[in-house]
Amino acid sequence: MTNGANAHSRPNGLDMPTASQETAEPARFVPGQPDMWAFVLFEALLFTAYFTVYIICRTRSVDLFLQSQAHLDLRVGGFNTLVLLASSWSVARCAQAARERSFRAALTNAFLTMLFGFSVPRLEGARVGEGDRQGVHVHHQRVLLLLLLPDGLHFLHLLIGFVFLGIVVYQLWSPARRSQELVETGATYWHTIDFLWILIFALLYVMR
Amino acid sequence: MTAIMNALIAYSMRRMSVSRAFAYSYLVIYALSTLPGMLLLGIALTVGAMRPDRDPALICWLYDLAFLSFSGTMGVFLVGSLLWMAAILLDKNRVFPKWFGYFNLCNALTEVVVAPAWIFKEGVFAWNGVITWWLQVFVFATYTGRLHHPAQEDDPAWKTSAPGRYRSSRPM
Repeated sequence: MTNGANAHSRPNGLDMPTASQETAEPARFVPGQPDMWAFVLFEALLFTAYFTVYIICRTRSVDLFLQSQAHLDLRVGGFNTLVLLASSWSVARCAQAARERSFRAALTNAFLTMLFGFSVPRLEGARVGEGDRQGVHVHHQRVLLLLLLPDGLHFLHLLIGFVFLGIVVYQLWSPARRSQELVETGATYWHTIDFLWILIFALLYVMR
Repeated sequence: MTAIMNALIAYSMRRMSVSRAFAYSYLVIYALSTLPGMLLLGIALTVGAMRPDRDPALICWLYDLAFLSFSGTMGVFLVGSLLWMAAILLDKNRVFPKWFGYFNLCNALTEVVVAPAWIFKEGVFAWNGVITWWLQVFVFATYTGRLHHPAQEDDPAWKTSAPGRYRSSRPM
């Protein structure tokens, strides 16, 4: 991105791009802090590395992995996917509403996102517990951990996502704050959670 | 060298608009991490190197101790990274770019992955495994390496993305 193009998209450094700016420059606008997109890139690279290790290990002992994958419930994973997609939708609506300055609707959508978010970790926790109860030998344990590691990391991302949602709510709460940039940064983070989950779901749950 | 680097980081944190507690806790945490991360590792490895005639099982155990002490004590780095992240994101003087703050979070999350090294003796989760050692070292090296290019603020692409919003009138 060149200096000129970027300076053009945020001409005066205001929090809220006005409607005329948006219609004039629809393609150049980066939602939220551009720095958050750097984080999205790093995380995508890291998870790619985990998945590469997973797939290499998997090709070495396919049978063991297939046995271990039986512990992962496809229905639970599917439910998580739907819930997270719904939460992504509501957080997008939150950012949209904040852009249109209808903050009540934005707050409702932020809380809706939290509600969707809360229904995910309990299911994930239940599944990890199920894995623990199996009295399995070490090789099996390692395979199980390879399967559960992205899940566990995703769970941590989700916990941090609640911090970001908290910041979004805090921003939307008082007319004195309401930084559109921070709201969109939080929304970007939340979309990352969803994006990573879809990768996990496809590679760990669906691919047999 | 590490001590100088951490002192410089703490100094940079003192230049931020956040409480000075951040800089001093950072300094204390990293000073503490030297004991298991470098001192114990150094002693154990030297003992192993200077007593090659001992039982190989004992030497093996010594190396286990050394490297688990080195890479297994990641909790300090996790807390340190999160502290630094909070300081960068709350800072109004833009001493460090925001993306580096988020990179701190990325590093902190990779530290968590090292924990299985305590359980597994071989494979990708052992202390010399692909995930617990190589991936973590790669991320940590990138993270530390980026630190030596603090010129990002002069980079026009990052500078113009938020033109002067975070500048405070506070002197450095």
